[in-house]
Amino acid sequence: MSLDLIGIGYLGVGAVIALVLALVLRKQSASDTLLLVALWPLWAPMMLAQRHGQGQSCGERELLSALARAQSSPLSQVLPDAETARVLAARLRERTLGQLRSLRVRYRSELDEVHELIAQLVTQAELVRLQPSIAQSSGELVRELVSRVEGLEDLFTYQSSIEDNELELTADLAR
Amino acid sequence: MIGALETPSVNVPRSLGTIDLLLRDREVMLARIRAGTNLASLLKTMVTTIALTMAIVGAALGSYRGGVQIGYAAVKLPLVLLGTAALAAPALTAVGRAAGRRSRLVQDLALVMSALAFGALLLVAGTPLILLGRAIDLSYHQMILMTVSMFGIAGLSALVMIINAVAVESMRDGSRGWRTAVLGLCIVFVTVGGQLSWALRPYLVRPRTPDVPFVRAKEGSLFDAITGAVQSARGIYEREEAPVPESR
Repeated sequence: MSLDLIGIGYLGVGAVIALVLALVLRKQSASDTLLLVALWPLWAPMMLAQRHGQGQSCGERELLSALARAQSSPLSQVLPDAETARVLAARLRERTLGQLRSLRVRYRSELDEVHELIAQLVTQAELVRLQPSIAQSSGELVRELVSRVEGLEDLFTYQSSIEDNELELTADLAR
Repeated sequence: MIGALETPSVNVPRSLGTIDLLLRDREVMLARIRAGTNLASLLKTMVTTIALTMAIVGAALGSYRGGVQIGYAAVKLPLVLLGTAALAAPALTAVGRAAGRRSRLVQDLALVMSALAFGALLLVAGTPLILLGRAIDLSYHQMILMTVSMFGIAGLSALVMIINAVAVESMRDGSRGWRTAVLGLCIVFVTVGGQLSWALRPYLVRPRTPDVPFVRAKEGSLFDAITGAVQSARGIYEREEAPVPESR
């Protein structure tokens, strides 16, 4: 078999795969099509994996593959099936996203307040430079700023507790 | 305002960041592949890197003869490496699965392509040596030896990257069979790559060669050539004398 024939056959297979995937996925960029035709052994599995993994996090994929592996073991009777695990993982993700959203709102308001205090402190510093007798009131402002920064630290602790909870829940699901 | 420091913003394409990561911090790159983070984009970057770097290396090799061979080699060398990668990369997963390795196809493809891109970047870094060889009129055989050494070093570096990644992954998940998987990949890669590069030769051509074909006429397989060379080394020749170019 000549090299030309092998090349044409290879590109032909790539073109067929590109066509099939274009029909199945209905969303294929020009670069994807080009890579599918030229490098289909690499790109076709990648596109299929992307499609299969859409909407799934890495942890969720690992959980599902662990459940699939355990299907043949005696543990399979007590384990949730793939669909239940997917629903549970989706709920967990939604809950975590909700918590992170509320955390972001809290962060933003706290940071806005800190920025405001800093601006006041800058103004105060200018005033102290011009009139040293009012230095006492600046001290109060600094104390307020420190307490706000400490409040931010509480937020960081809260965030880590959310992450820990998520890990524990994932471990529970895996069990 | 306090804390509002102006930081210079530089628009660097993400693909360049990936290449930077590949060169500077391969541990992070391997962790990214393990986690499966945005592998499609990574694979595209690696394919582009291999295509561009091998085109540069091919052009440098072609410059030994000059003329049209610069373009020919610049086109053929990326084809050889990308074609070999496409056909051989799935072997890591396939052989690994057969040997009991817990593997994922897409991660393995990304790993092999990243390692090849790393090797290709090393090769392109050595391009000035090829140009230096041309400038100081190294003989054809010396150039061949230098090219083989450069490709050998680049290939070994890529292999070390694959071995490290697969060994670490196997230690983490406790699966076995990674050695067999890497060996299988090497065998398939060498066989496919050897035959493909043989079929698309020449890349490095003597400067005095009058006409250069894009691809040489079929003269059997790489295996036939190796067998013939071994026979010649033992003093067994199939022809009376070596062909000489026709005088004009």
